[in-house]
Amino acid sequence: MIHEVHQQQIPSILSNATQIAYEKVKSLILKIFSLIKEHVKQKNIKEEFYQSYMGFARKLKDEGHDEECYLFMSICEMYYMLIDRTNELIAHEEFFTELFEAFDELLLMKINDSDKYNEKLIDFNMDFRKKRRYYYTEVAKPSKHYEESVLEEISSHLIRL
Amino acid sequence: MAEKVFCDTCVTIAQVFHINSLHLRSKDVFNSYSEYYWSNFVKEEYERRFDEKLKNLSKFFQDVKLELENPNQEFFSLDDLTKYASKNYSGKIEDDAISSISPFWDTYIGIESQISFNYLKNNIDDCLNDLLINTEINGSNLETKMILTPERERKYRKIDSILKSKGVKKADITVTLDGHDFACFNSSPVDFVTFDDACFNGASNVEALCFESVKGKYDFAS
Repeated sequence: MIHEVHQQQIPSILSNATQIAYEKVKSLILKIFSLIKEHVKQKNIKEEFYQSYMGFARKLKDEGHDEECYLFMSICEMYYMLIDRTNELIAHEEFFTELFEAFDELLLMKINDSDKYNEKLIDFNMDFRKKRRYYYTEVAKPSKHYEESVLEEISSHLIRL
Repeated sequence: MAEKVFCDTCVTIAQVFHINSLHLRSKDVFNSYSEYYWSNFVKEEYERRFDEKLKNLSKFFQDVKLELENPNQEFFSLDDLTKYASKNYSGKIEDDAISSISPFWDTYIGIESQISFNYLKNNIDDCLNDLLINTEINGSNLETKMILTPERERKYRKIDSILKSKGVKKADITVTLDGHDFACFNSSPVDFVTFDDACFNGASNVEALCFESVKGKYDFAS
């Protein structure tokens, strides 16, 4: 399960405001999992998550951590699209836990051992690509912007892949 | 029309990315032939461009979500996205971003000319989701469809210099000669399709090329 963020675990490359934004988004992810497990529906939680992860991403970018900003957004975009599909989100709790923890480690490496950071980033990207491929071929659903025939075609490909 | 086609990299890339002004033309290419060929050079260029374009488009749409929200601006238009891309990017990422805007607007927004930021960002989320699904599926299908041609050993120096004199870029000359080599030693006619204007204009005016026909983007329906 995703762990609460504690001050001492967070790399000090982040400013206080960014640190707070990070704690907020991680706490919210935990809250969403527990609300779903307790079968509690909370209005606007999806929008709250969106605002929260975007707030942290904007701060990361403002502080020059562009690569981490886009990676974090990409993880959150997957999570965001599953919030309405509660059973599947719970079924992928470990999947997201691994991704968010790997992201924490990447940030930690940036401050603690910047020489090894590039190596860590390559490893992160390799693992992230595998997980992203799994998510977009086996979990994600196409949006409703396609004509039905195209949607059917995409769905049949998804089954075959 | 020949049944076999040798494809330039831009044709394969346009086939994989649905938010692309040439996507429908590329689909028409793949509906028009029975066998599709590429060389090692085209395959490697395709793999490099696939990663680059996916990264560029993700970055562009994520940047719009990050930076375009503005309490002083209630509505956004297609022009706002184009201006944002022109102002903030250059080179390949600018080309990739700008060529994706109209297809994005047509597919996800529709006929509205002005939309709220909230509506825009919801549709960007759908677009990014579909982009990642489509590139996985289309990329996988494309690699199954494409047949690798034998490695070219001949240099065809004369044709090389004619193409160069007609303004065809070095990489496009390599692609054209790879296709030419394959077509020369094939028992049945082979067409060459490129969506690059300079490559099309150059290759279609060289009589020595073995292609049955050289076709450009305007030969296929959009």
